[in-house]
Amino acid sequence: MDRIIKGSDFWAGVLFVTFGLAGLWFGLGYPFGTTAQMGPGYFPRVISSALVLIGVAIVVRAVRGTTDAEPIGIWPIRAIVMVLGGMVIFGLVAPHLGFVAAAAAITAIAGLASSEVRIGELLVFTVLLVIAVTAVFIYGLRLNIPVFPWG
Amino acid sequence: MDLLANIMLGFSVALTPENLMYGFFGCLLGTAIGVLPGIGPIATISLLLPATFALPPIGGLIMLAGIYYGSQYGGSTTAILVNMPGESSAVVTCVDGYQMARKGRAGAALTIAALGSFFAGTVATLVIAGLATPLADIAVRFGPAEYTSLMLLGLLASVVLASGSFLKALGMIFLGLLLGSVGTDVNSGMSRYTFSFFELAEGINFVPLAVGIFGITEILSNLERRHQETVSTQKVNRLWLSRKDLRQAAPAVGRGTIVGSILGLIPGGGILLSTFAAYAVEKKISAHPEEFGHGAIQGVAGPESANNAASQISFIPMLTLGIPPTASLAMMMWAMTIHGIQPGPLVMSANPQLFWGLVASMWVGNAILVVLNLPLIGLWVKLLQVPYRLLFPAILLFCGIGVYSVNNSAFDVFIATLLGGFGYVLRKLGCEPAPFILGFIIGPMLEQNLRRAMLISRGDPSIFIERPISAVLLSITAVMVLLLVVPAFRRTRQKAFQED
Repeated sequence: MDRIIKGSDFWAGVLFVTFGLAGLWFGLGYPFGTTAQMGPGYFPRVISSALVLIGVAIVVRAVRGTTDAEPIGIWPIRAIVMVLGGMVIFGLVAPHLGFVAAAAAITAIAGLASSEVRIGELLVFTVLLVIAVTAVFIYGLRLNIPVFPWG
Repeated sequence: MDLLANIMLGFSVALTPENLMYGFFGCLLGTAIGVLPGIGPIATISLLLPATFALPPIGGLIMLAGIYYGSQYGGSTTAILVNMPGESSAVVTCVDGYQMARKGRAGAALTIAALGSFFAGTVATLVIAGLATPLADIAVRFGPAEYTSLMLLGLLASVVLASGSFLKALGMIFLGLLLGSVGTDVNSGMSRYTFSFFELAEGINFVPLAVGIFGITEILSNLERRHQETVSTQKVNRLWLSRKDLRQAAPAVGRGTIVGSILGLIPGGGILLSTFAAYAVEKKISAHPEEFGHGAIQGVAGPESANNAASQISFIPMLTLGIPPTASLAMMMWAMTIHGIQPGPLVMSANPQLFWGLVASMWVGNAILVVLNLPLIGLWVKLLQVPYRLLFPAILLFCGIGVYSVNNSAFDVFIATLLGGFGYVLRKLGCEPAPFILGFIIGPMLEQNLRRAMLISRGDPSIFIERPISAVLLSITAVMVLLLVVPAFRRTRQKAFQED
């Protein structure tokens, strides 16, 4: 049992089944139509059903132990939180406080994701990178993003 | 002589100072970003797409082609110097390229990769120019049934040729198809899986998807590995090949080019397959097969040439039929539509300047790469020596800018974040992203053509067998599926992908 739960195959199968079922469930309201005149629900429903079948097949093989899938391994929580968090902050900050603030935030936050981080080095690097990137993207490539909170 | 006139037309477009400059900057930027560890062509194109927005269509396309080649060459550089392939087709290059670098012969490996790619690119450009017109003639005869069968072939080929578990790759395709159906259904105008987000009305944008799955996911995977590998810090000082190197590598380049030109025509996974095939060929005919895996120059020359020939040849299905054969070309195609060009059989006749200009600029791009990269290798090495703890925040910032600047949309940034996390989960579960991307891009086209075909035949599926082109395509698909079931082939396939 332990081997099954820690194996990547089992969970891959579960994931496919979940998405297949979700596709079927949320697609319930889309008219199916006929094979000659397919409605908007035809294709998604066929795809979702296939996804469920494939997922079940993978799960069955994993439980029977006919595959030797690699174990999933550890989840690097700190990296995940900092990297994804940095992106979210970028998305939240850019429209309101402008490009410079958003760029500085994402660089500094993401930098904390690595266990080898050195704070002083990261701060200097952030400042230099933001200056360089602003010069290239805003003034060089003329991307139309507000630079500072005041425009 | 038609061919000659077409090529001349192409060069007259590609060689204007303006377009030459776009090609140059495309190659330069593409290499600079593509060289960053873990950033493959797909992520590179999506990160640099905004840079092409302000250009006229032809200039934009030429710059994109430059970015595409540059990113591939940058990927090989990283594969050789750091042993980190940016995408699956650079995996084989890692094997002997990195060993060469460890023995202080990185310069020779990089040079042969550049020269081999240039030769392969030249041949492949000629093949494209020769084949494009007859193929486009066939393409006009393609109806919905033929398109449907071809897309099935492409999707299944990408599964058969994927390196991991067959069932998981198949699942990834269907997951891609499902995600591709998000948005407004063209026929009925009904919203599907949009969960009342108006931002999803036109479907999930491709740039956030690609940046998420290929950029952010890659960063997370690299951080997990704690990044122990260090760049081979020996100076890359001797770029020139010895006479012995040349004697060994030149025939390998030729063979690799042939392998790549043939296999590149297979939609779905021909490029990846061609690199493995070229490596296998070199190992088989070598008098010293034991050198392979320990820095044999043929092991770099063959696959790199095959890779470049095949990735160029694979433009054919996209340019003539409008069907992207690989995930990176799906990205290219999406970029083209942003520039207002819908690749397909009509481009060649309706806009010959653009078509032949693009073909010619492929060759120009390859030439620029040689001229540009051999002197600049020192710079790329410096870039790779930046510690990863500083490199990845910069890459993530580029991801953020790339996604945000397409539509100035924070929603896209959130989608990219979500898909980045999702892609990481998939990676942990041993699911490959390439079939997923292909499914996502082909999904809406497949649905449209399937619906049209069924409408024409009044729901009778025999239309797929009665039409000859469609029947041929389907039988190829059937043979591939049968091969998968045959145990002997399955073993060979497993062996082929474990060759290292």
